[in-house]
Amino acid sequence: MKDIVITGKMIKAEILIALGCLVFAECLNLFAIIKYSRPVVELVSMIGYVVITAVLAYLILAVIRLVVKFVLWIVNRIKK
Amino acid sequence: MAGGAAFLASTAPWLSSCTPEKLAEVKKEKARVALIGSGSRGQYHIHNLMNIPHAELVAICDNYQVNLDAALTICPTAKGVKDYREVLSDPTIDGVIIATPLYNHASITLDAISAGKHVFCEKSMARTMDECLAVYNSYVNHNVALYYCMQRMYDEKYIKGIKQIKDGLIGDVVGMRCHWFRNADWRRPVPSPELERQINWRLYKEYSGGLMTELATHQLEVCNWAAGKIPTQVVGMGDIVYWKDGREVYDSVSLTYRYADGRKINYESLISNKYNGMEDQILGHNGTVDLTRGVYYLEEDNMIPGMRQLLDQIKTKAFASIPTAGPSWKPELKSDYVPHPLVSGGISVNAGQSMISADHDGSDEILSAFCQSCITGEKADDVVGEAYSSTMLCLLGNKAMEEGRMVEFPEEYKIPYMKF
Ligand SMILES: NC(=O)c1ccc[n+]([C@@H]2O[C@H](COP(=O)([O-])OP(=O)(O)OC[C@H]3O[C@@H](n4cnc5c(N)ncnc54)[C@H](O)[C@@H]3O)[C@@H](O)[C@H]2O)c1
Repeated sequence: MKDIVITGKMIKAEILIALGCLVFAECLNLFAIIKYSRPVVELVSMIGYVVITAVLAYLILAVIRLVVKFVLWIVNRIKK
Repeated sequence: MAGGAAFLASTAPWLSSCTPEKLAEVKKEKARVALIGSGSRGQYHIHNLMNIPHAELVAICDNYQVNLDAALTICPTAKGVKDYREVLSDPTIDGVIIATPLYNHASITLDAISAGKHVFCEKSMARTMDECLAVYNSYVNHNVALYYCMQRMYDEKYIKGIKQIKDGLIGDVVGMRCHWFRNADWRRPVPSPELERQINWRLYKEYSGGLMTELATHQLEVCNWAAGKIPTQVVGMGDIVYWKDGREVYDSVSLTYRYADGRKINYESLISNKYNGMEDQILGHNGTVDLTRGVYYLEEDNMIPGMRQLLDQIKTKAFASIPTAGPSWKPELKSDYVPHPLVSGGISVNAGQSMISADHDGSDEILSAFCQSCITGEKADDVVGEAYSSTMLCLLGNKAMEEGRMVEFPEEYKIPYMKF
């Protein structure tokens, strides 16, 4: 059986994507605060919602990335 | 609870006779009161009276020995009496609390007023419209305080709720929706058959107005309080749907009361299904107040955190399309409104299942206010007017259901207090 090797580069990439999701969720929160004229304190008090949104975004991204990888893998095999 | 004369005048004028300042003035005195009718509600009042520092329960009267004995066990220092006239002729007694069945509220109240006693009577005011008018006239012509136990008028969440409604919280009041659902037969065990009507008086028309005078009376009062008016017309239907046990009063009622400006109270009560519980809802064009739970809901709710509003909107847009019926049609399901409290801190909520009452539903406050009036002699504004109006509406509702027609508020029973 082949060993799965998770490289430092891969871990770094995943951490960056997760952080990106968190920033995206917090930006959504900021947008909502402006759109619905809510107090700025919601930037902190809504952190639970932000984290859940970030996790959801990360999972959705993961599915998209898997699909893309799978399609690329098939394309490469056909080319060969 | 009461803060500011303008607040009292606009929302709950009856509170001006029992402000904390006025209470402080009488704190060394005690009202000497007697209880007439020591059944379940009477015994509940005894417990409350024992916690009111300015009250002394000196006599308990009941013509049913079992209930008299039970009450004297709770308050052994009170004198036990079987005939209420003995209480009325005692000059040392300042006021009486009447917790007898509805059919004798009027006669005992009239006798007590004539005897110069201050009176606290259970709701509803009386069994018939003529009796209501007789009591009202007697009250106007005598210098005694008269209270009816419409405890919502003294319940903090109702007072604050009505104040906020009057301040425009939910915009224009456009309707009211009240119901009281229970799943219980209303029967009490009877030790011997000849006591059936005496103990289960609620089930017989001679003694009781059924669901209307027992339950609806509280809720109709709240609607009028919120509307600042009295309905002019009522239609309704009443039936014995489930408890076909020889009772005469309906176990299911559904009525619509209409104000002159077209607003309506939709009232429903059923005692064979409790799913919907008890609710007193005031509907405004900007929101809804549920006074029973002490909460309000806004149609456009800007108080919900922004992130939640945004996610809700995304969710609605993503999942609520109805492809079969085209984009313009969407079922108007009851939305997921967020409740906001009317009163900060913990509040007592009456689920409506108890026959006697819930804790801190205003019953203790109104009893305390009455005892204060026994000392000061000050009448509580509007309590009698409110009780008269709501009782009349209950009796008119029963008339509409019995006769199967729309009933108008009769001219001869209108009193100056009422605005239509
Ligand atoms: N405000 C509320 O929320 C609320 C709640 C429950 C009951 N109530 C009202 O309280 C009243 C009593 O209800 P209850 O459930 O206690 O009834 P109950 O039958 O348990 O008690 C009534 C008592 O009055 C006594 N009585 C009857 N005629 C009398 C007379 N002439 N002299 C002396 N005693 C007499 C009876 O013997 C009985 O003990 C009713 O009017 C009811 O509508 C109000």
